[in-house]
Amino acid sequence: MRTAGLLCWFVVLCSAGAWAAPPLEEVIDQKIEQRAGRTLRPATDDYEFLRRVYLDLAGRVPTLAELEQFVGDSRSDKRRLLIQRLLQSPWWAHRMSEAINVMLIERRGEDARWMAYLRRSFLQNKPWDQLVREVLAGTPGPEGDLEGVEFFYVVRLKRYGQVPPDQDGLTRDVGRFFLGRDLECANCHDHPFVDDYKQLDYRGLHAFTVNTFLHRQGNKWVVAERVMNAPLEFASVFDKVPHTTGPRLPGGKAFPVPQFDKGQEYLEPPDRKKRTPGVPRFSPRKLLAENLPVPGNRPFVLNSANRFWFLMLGRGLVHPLDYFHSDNPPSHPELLDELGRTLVEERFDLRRYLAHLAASRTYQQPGTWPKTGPTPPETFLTFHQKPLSPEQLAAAVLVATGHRLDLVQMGVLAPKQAKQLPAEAVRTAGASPPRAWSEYRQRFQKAFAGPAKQAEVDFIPAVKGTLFVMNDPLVLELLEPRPGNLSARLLEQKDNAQAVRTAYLAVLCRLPDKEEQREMASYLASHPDRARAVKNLLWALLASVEFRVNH
Amino acid sequence: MNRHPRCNAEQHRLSRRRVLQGALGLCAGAWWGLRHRGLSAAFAAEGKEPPRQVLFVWLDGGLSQLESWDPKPGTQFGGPFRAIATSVPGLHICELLPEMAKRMHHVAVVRSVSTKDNSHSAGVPRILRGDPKNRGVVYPYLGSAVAKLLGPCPSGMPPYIWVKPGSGGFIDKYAGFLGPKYGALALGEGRPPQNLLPPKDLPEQDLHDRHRLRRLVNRHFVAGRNAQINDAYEHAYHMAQALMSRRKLFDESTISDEERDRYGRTQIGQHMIVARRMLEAGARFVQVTSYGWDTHGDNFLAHRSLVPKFDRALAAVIDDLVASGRIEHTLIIAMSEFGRTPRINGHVGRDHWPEAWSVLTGGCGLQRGAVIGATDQQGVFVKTEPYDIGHLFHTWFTALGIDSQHTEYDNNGQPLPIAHDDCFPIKELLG
Amino acid sequence: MTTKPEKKAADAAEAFRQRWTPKLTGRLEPDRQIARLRFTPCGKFLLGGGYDGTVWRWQYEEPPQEENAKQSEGKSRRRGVPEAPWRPLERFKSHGGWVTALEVHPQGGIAFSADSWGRLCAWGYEGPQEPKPRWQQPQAHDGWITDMALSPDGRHLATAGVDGTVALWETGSGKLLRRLEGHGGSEVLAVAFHPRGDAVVSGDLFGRVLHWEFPSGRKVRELDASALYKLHRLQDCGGVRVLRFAPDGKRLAVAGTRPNNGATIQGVPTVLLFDWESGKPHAELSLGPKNECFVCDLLFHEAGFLAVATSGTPGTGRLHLHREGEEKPFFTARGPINCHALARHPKWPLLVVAGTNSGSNGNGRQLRNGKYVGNHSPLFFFQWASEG
Repeated sequence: MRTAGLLCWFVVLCSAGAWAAPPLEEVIDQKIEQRAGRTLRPATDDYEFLRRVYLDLAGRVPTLAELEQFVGDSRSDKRRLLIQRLLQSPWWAHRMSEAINVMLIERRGEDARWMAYLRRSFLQNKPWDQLVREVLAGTPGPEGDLEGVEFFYVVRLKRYGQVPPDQDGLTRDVGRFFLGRDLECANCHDHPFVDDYKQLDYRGLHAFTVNTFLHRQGNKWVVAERVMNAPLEFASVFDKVPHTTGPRLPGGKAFPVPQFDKGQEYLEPPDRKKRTPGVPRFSPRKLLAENLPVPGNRPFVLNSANRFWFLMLGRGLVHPLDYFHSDNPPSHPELLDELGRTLVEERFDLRRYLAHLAASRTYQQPGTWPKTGPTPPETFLTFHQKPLSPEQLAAAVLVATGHRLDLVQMGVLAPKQAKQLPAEAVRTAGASPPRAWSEYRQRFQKAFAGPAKQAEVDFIPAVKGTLFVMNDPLVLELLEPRPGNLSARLLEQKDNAQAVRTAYLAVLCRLPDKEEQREMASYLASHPDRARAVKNLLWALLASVEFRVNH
Repeated sequence: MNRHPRCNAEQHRLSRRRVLQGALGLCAGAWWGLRHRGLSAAFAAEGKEPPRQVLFVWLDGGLSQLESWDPKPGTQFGGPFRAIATSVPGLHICELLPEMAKRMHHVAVVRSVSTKDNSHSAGVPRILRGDPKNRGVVYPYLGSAVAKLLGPCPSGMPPYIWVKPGSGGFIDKYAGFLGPKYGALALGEGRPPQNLLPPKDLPEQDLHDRHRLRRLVNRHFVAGRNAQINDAYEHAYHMAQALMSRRKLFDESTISDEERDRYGRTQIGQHMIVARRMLEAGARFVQVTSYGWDTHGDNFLAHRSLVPKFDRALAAVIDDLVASGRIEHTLIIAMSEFGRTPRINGHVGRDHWPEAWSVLTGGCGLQRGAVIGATDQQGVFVKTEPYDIGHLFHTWFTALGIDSQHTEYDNNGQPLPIAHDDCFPIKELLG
Repeated sequence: MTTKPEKKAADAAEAFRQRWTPKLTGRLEPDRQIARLRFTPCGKFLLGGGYDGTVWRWQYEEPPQEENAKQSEGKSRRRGVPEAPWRPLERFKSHGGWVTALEVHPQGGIAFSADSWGRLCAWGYEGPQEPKPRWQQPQAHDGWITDMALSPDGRHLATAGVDGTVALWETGSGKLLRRLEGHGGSEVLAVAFHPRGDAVVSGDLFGRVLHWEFPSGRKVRELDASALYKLHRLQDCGGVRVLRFAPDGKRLAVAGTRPNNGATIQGVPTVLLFDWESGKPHAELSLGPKNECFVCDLLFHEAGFLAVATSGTPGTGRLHLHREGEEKPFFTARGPINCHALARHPKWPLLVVAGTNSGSNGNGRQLRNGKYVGNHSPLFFFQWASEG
């Protein structure tokens, strides 16, 4: 039974087929070294690598058992094997759905159906171009199996009180997320500083979604479209010369706007009685979905390559991510081309793409400066400190304190799917946490999420999050001993040195250095109440900067 | 990447060349006539004087100027109320403000405010941001702006505290491009933020130990790495601990009955007490918000119910600021996002009116007992030079010792004026 | 399947409806807003208390035959409604603020009016010239006089004020008889005399209705109409806005709104009917959705129905005729909106209601021909079929 289950899991998740190790990771290292004019250091140690790759590909830290197993593994290709295993596991779907949710929604709100859509997509390793196509189309499909996908439009086009639908914000975000171009300043005139960003680019992009609106049907939103019967008119606020454009991708040609006889504009006219919004014959939004995420659209390809590079490396080759233009060239132009080429060749298969990145020595560089001293961030010679997202942090805190995470409870796997997988693939070892995952997720989001409508990339520790870690019962109760959790385990370990080592390995995924070992052990020894001492030690590790970042 | 979504450093750094060639644009305007003074000038003004502070009373929805600071009794739109004489000879205000009438010599009223927006959704942020020129960035609200420009007071209290009805917490969405660090610490119903109190059963020594051990771990981590993140993190801990150390401030049992009565046993009265205590504890900018002023219906009995409660609370806090001498360095502002229409609708209400309305302000060296500007006989339009919110921002910044016309924010390399470039401080108000 | 008695009842209700459904027959267009309306006992004058601090006067003028003909041609018609044959006279101008209380002596000749600045006046309303006060009390109340009521014999007058007091006056001399201070300083918004003349009731912002013995001024009891009050955020909302006794004195209508929220106030326009004997409410009329908000004026018709003027969100608020015991009004007028005042002609089957012009609200600068124009209260004249 068990073998059958494993086999099935493997078959399901590797439907893209086994892949031969491509040379992209080597190209990456080569280009990085070339540009830096120096060689990369050897990869960082197993501990740092393991924590890093778990956070990036599984959205959590490894359990103590997973750590011990990996460190004890003497196979020379164990890193590559681990990367593949993580990418194939449902944890990756968890990690990616959370990351893409934050990227595309930018904390405007949460929606269970949208999250379910993202999880389904990553469980089946949906190619990135297809996912983008579905998101831009915004319709649940004839079978309804894309239900939830409309949320991308809903959060932007919903009215909040007197605040009208954010049509301009939508255009801007389509440009930012999918083309790497923040065209906002080109809304009313050519961009004042960026020669490449024309008002025509903005308006052309705007024309794709300007007629899109939300229609309420029962308890759901339908992303509907009004008839476009003429090109969009616009003029610069400076010269006031009138122009028109049909839907048009930046730098491309405008699509003609067809004229229909009155009454012929709709494939399906709006029906007041049935409360259907109608389907126009000419759908610019459909054009957008069909024409933006395609291999021939270089901005889309390079932006995709750059964004997932950022997800792994903590900084874009083009940086900021939404600032592709000729005055802001990539730090490594050839490398970016190479990444884009591979992404297209491998048909936007994100598992394969991330596997390349994770396997590179660049990704595996130490987080400490080289002996020669600090290196500029754009050289990628030292791994960036990446703040954990609230979702990563919540999962990390639970796992680090020895509490169980369960992908069924987390909504990633349906119970039926979970039954086909070995238990260790569905849940981590540990004590049952005192609250439901949804509560941890929500409370950590509340404490640590950035403001809405902003890319969540900066590390700005706030008093709110700090007080949360210091005093919130939700965090502090995880330090209480409970059968099977870390606290209980540490209390059982009478040898202080051993307890300190265990605590460091479990929480920080590393061994303490000599000073730490000595100080912490003596602290445990000197405290009159060992249980309290253990809690204090654990808290200090959880509250450290080291725990808060992926390094 | 850029922390502020709308304009970022690279955008400006890389584009400078273009601008210097003379391109003009909405965004480009920012680059013309740059005066790189930075913020140091703002700090220099402080010297060793007591720190300048702000008490900002926000009547959300729109206080009627006709039922408050600019009554027009006996005219078509004057409404039912009388005007009463005040402690400033010749100055009359609405009879609903009997307490403030006795204290108008401490403050000033600007009756010639004329702003641009008549909707709440756009009007509130526009007013609270000072309605600067559009440069494609989201400007901070006044509280965040002052928190940035003057920083926290030496007390270590969070610079921007917001006493409000409803829920509280750390509200950073109004900090705009300054980033969440300059957001408000909101005291919902005047109560302390969540998690301010340490766990009950945790001995002081353990609390101390926790931080000692935490710093030990951080020391190890920072060695040989970029320390920036650690510094930022340490700063947040410092702020959190400073706040926790002041938790007695939130102990309501230390407010006397006499004090509660004097401020009025109303929501705004009790919140005003908390606000005063925050100022005394050294918060830089304290905002008190009262909701429910959008009187499109039954405007007059509504104002009869609302205004006296505000009157009493404001008068009481002014008394205390005067008695303690704090008024010398505390800027007082009481306002809404706009006034209310002169004409009275069928619901006996008044609608939104940005054309001509009044703002009460004073303290911190502003001209006492001043009446700035005037509206026409029926109170419909401003008949003197109209002042926009930008003028008021300039004036307030100036009163706080900031050179409002030369100081700029540094938004990741993009210099931004702190108030509307076309506006200026109101001289008569500054004296 | 309706049973015979049910059908009979339905037929009777329908007959009643037809009998008492009035027709809109005329309209007047004062250029200001009107808070109160009263006909004089002779029926020749109509008085209106205005937001302009005056009392408007109109005198009935029999329209000449040819005028009638002209009108039917539509010359002075407004939206198909002819101008009512009431000629404006010089207004009474001794007031300030708003004139929000107005009554006429039952024997005629003298009107009593009071304003929001606290002034109470008695004056003769006949004659073409601008009327002058017979007597006046410039400080009858400290501030807004919200309502007044005459004793049935016309010898006494009760006034209510936001100063929290009820004052009793001799109508002949203007002498203050007594000041009743039982409302704890809360705004008194309505007052009424019992038809027997032995009791005065007053209602305040918090929904308390106090019963005072007249003329002693002894407080007898308190009726609870607190359903008409709510504290929302900082605002005390609602209150007792209207008090009216049924002509037989057995019921007391206490009206206002059941407040939902303050600021842009909303609430269901509500009349609570109290049994006077027991002091208990025995019925509640809800006259509209919550955006219709206030009952502003109300009168009992001896045929067994209530005429109610309501006003809420601009564009809402109506004249309703509501037969006691029925669920809903049997008539709701289509024309007037935001109705604030009602008056019934003493002799003719005529009812006048003060509404508000449409489009009365709107944010910001709205100029008409470059001018900023205020709102006004069109008066709508409704007529029933004559008796018999």
